[in-house]
Amino acid sequence: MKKLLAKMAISRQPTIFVLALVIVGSAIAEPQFLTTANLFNLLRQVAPNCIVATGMAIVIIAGGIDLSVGAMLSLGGVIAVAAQPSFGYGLGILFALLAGAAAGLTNGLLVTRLRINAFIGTLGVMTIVRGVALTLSRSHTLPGQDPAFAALADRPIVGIPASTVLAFALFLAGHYFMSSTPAGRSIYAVGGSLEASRLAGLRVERSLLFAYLSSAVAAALAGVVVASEINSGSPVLGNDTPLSAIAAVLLGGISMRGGSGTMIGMLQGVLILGVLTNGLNISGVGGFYQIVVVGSLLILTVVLDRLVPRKSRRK
Amino acid sequence: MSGPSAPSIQTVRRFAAELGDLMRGRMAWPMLLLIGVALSILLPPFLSLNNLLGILRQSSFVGIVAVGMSFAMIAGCFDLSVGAIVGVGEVLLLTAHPTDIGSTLLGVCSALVVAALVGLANGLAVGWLRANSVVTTIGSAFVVLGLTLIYTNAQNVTVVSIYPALEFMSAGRLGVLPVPGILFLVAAIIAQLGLSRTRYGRELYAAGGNPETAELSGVRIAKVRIIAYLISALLAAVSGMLIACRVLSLNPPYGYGFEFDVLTAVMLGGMGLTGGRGSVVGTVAGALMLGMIGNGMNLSGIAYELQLVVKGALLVGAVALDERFRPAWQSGQ
Repeated sequence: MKKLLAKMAISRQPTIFVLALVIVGSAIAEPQFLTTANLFNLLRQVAPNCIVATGMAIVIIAGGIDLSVGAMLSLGGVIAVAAQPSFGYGLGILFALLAGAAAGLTNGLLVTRLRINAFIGTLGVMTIVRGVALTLSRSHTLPGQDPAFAALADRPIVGIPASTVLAFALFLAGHYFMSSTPAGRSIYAVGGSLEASRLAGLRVERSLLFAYLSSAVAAALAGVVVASEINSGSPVLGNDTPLSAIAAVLLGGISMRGGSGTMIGMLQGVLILGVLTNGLNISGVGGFYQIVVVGSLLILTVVLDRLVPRKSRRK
Repeated sequence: MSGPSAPSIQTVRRFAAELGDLMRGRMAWPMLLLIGVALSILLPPFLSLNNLLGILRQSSFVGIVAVGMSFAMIAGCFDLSVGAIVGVGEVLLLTAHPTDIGSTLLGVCSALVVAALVGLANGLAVGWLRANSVVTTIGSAFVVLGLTLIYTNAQNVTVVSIYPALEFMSAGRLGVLPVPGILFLVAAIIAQLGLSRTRYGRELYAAGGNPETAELSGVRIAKVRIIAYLISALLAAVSGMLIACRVLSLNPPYGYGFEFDVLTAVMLGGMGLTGGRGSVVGTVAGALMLGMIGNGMNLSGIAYELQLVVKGALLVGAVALDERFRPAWQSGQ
């Protein structure tokens, strides 16, 4: 049984086939799928998850995990909207990103300085950030004040929504950073083996700090995008954000054990989830079934992740 | 480590390390006492019999789940699905409309069976297939939550009356003691005896402390972990049913976020994150500590939103302390 499962996922290549499969499947099952309107819709649906997953991928490659992204997404939106009346939306977005940086720094310092388990540290920060978002908004959904902010995310740039362009730009930056810069390569090294990287003289703390920083800032940015799409800031959004982001990252072939996988894989994972969700939506399958599907996919991928033999498998 | 130019700091550090050694895993009860004393000085209404018994009742719901989660944690695994299992336990009991013995048994049995299935699935994935426990149990939490929402159509679940025995279990008193508090303590005593007196308990600590060695000495890790997840899931369902009988009306998303309180209680009780350490005795203190702090915050009128912030800080603080003292403890092995 174990061997059979391992064979099914013998290499990291299947991601692209799975992606092709879900696209072809959706196109055949639902004629609506391949319409311009739906594809536009699909692109704007995947943008927030793509932004969050880009940061999450960096953290997971660094051997960590960030569970605070959902609360951060929510807080980002709340800040961006709450700041509009007095500061305008430009500064509001800046404040949101700064809050993301603060949360990311906290995560990073908890993991590097206090050596707290990443999962617990980010879970604690998640609760704190959620509490801040609820306090700031007095537990209400804040309505957006500025029509220009509301139009921001969906403004088409050459037929593609601005949020998607932003997500893709961020993905390209992340891809370049992780594959072609020394700092990115050292994140792979740190994720592969913390001790070896430390012995090799890499600045382990700095790499980890950067990973958590980028994840939280990306989540805050995604929160701004979502806030613009729905033109309001909600303190209760994002409970399943970590679920979707981690699922996309693992579907994309990035290992929970750290140090392996690519950003291109992550993008494929995001698209698989996006197409699947979109396909389920237009076939009239409701949100709760989608939670079940994504949750099952997550379990399946994390089990496969464990079974896939790796050249550099560590005991 | 700082340079040799500061011997006094080193002495202090060594002293702190030795103190940490000594207090390792025994810190929870003194802390509980300290917090209790501090709260009774700061808040006069805190130290009344009624309030203290209320804390015991409130803590017992988190505490019963925490006893179960302790098993998973000692085995070196996280179980984040307990919140969703609490939710499905609540829903299955209440939707059975437990007004007589038949429907009560139906509700209780279906909740326990579903919980056992989830625990088994978690155990198989984490124990047998060795998948990452955080991600696996987040996945199963959302599967369970999604199925519960589908089952109830995301509507509120309300019953008007329940079987008297159920009411007694969740709201009754035996003498002065609240019944759920007694259930909590009984569960904890049985669990602690199971951990320290049985072969399974020893295997659990071995499997969590050093899986490779344990496996070589004949411990079947998969089996040990599956049983740990089963215990965790079943106790979560029990707690969910007690909560349901207490509140009689549930809002979706059922049970979501409960796992966070449980985890905080377990960590406050001095559980190690990497497995092989900790005890249910500590967990009991952790659950009571969390209950006391929550009660203190309620009494002083701190808003729910800020309480979240405090709880998050508590969790991080408890783990930071654990990490601070661990190296000294491990070198003492």
